[in-house]
Amino acid sequence: MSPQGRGDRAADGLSDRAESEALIRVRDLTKVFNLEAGLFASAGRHVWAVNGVSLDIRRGETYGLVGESGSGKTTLARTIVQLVAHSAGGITYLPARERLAEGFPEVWEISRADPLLLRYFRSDVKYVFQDPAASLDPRMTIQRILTSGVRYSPRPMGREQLGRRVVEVMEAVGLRESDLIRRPSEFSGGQRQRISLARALVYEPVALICDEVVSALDVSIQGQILNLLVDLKRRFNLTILFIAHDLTVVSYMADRIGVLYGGSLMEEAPSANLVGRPRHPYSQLLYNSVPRWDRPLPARNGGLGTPFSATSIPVGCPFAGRCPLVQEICRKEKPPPREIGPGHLVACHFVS
Amino acid sequence: MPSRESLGRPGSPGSAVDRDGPPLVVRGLSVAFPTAGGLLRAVRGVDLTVQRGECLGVVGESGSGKSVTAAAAMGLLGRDVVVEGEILLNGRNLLSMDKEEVRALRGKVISMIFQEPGRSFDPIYSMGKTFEETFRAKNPSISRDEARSRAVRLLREVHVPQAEERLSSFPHQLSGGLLQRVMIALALANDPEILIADEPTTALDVTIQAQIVGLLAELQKKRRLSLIFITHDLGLVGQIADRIQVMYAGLVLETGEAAEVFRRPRSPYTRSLLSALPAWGSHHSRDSLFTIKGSVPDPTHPEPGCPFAPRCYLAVDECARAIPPLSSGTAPPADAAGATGSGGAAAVPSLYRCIIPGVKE
Repeated sequence: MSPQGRGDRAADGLSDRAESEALIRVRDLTKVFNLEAGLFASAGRHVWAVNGVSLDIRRGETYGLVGESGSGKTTLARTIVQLVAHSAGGITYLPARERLAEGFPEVWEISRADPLLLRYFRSDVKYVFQDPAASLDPRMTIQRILTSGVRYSPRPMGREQLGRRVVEVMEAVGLRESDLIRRPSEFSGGQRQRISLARALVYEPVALICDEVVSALDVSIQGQILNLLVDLKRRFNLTILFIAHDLTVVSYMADRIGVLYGGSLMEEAPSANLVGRPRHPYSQLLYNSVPRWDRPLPARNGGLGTPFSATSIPVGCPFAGRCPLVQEICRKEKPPPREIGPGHLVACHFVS
Repeated sequence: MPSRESLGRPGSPGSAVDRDGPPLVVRGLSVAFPTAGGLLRAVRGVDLTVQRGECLGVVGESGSGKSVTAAAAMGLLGRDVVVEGEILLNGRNLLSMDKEEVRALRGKVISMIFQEPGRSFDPIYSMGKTFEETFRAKNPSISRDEARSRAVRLLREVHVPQAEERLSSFPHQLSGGLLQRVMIALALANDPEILIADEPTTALDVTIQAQIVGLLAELQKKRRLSLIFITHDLGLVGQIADRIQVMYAGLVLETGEAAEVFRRPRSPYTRSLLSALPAWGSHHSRDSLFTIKGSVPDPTHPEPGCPFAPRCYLAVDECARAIPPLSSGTAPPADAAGATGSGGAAAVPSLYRCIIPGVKE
């Protein structure tokens, strides 16, 4: 199988590559789930889980995606690696030159990629799940969990090389070589998350998508895993898409943050800007809701609003129903993200 | 192993109802579950007092014994569970009461709300019917109309919009936040003095969490409730609680006024927890998180010493010998930062378990 001519035109890619440092570029990404699936489902109902999101994940950065349940953050991430097929829009991967095998395009249209290209992409961009207990096969030893992917990996690795790599990643995630013969049930939640990370790292990925990787863990263990992620990122030169509902954790980990609500990007800014002065009314609500012992409970902000769910074609701003600044236009027209400062985008008719 | 019955001592001095003292006093509570791997020591000698109109925050990680303490106070533990100590509700020991007496107190004196509101409702009961049953449990003669109007009043008190229409709603028609409001209303249906909230917002989104915690704080003040707020979230407990108990491995490792515990944490465990959390505005490029090594001890084989010793940054050999008593320690409380005073009168020093002298900053 030759990958000759797969993916998209390289000519376009060159100019793309020059103008930005994007590793993964998401454009107008939309995912509509059909609720008709299933015997008892009502006919003709759809959910707009992700609705026209555009963002760049830059080479070497940690991009933090924060949002509440139903914001679309997990769907967005799964769509990026095509665990879930997208409905519209594009996902582009711009691998570093040294990762390009012979004959591969420089710009990969993941949204239209064939299975082989997709296999390469998925070995470069690894998804780490929230619940390590559910994502590790209980019957497998850690050795097998780490090495069973070799059959699917497009990048060949000899037995000896694989053995060395396994020992290296085990050491990197803080586990012992002797743990390789044990099974997942013999480990605590935090250690299982280390195993998940080790598994993701075996085939030398470029990027990790970390989906709520610490939210099921106790505080004392959460700190261990966050520190570990920082270490791993430095050691293996990783790009990370870090997804969480906890704004404090996201702002600690991320270089840039995107705030998602109702499947749309409400605000995107460098971490320090967003933490210092969130501008979108939703980001402000989120910020005020962060429980912090050093400030009093928030006044009744956001009223009795409930999170948004788009089961009909969304019109206008998804936050309009809860927004203190809401005007007529908000219910009719969806505000596009606009730049209000360097690298600071806000999707609101009334913030400038 | 002594059985539950043999341990329940008759109520403290007289069994007359004491209305002036704290509504709930727990003394030397120990709870152990028989398991295949031996006795699981979930709670190992916990003391706890809640005053009228006060919010006590109980904070701890999973396995700390915080929820088991609450279940014991509600009289919800099974017969095969080994319970020792005293749980005094208005001066009367719950552990020496029979089933019927406990049932009569539940809802009326002490009530509880849980983590996942969705699971606490019967899916085929409308809200109205659920309220009716709840009232009827304590007042069998209540009429339908009376039940309805009281339900509407309660729903309004917890700020459920369109309270009347909601009575015909079923659980699946309400969002998690609304269900939690309804659950709070149900817990208050028979005007209890004590409300235990066990991780009431853990399953909710932060913006909804803030609303629910705000509501609990409002009700606590308005009704002079004794609120026990159980959580793993240090930030949250700091916002709502007047006093805090920090639990670990079935023991209270630190207890004190909320502001004091946060400003001057004394127990190495409390300090470790606070520094393991990212501070607001901190960033990994500048600040690294304090790492608490290892994981929680095995509750079926508790070691004799301080349970945190194997993970503690200060531990010495002696820590493994015996569980240190709760004390205000050897160091004067406000030596370092206290000079300028952080508002208000001199804080009561926290009690904590640690034998390392002068644990302060």
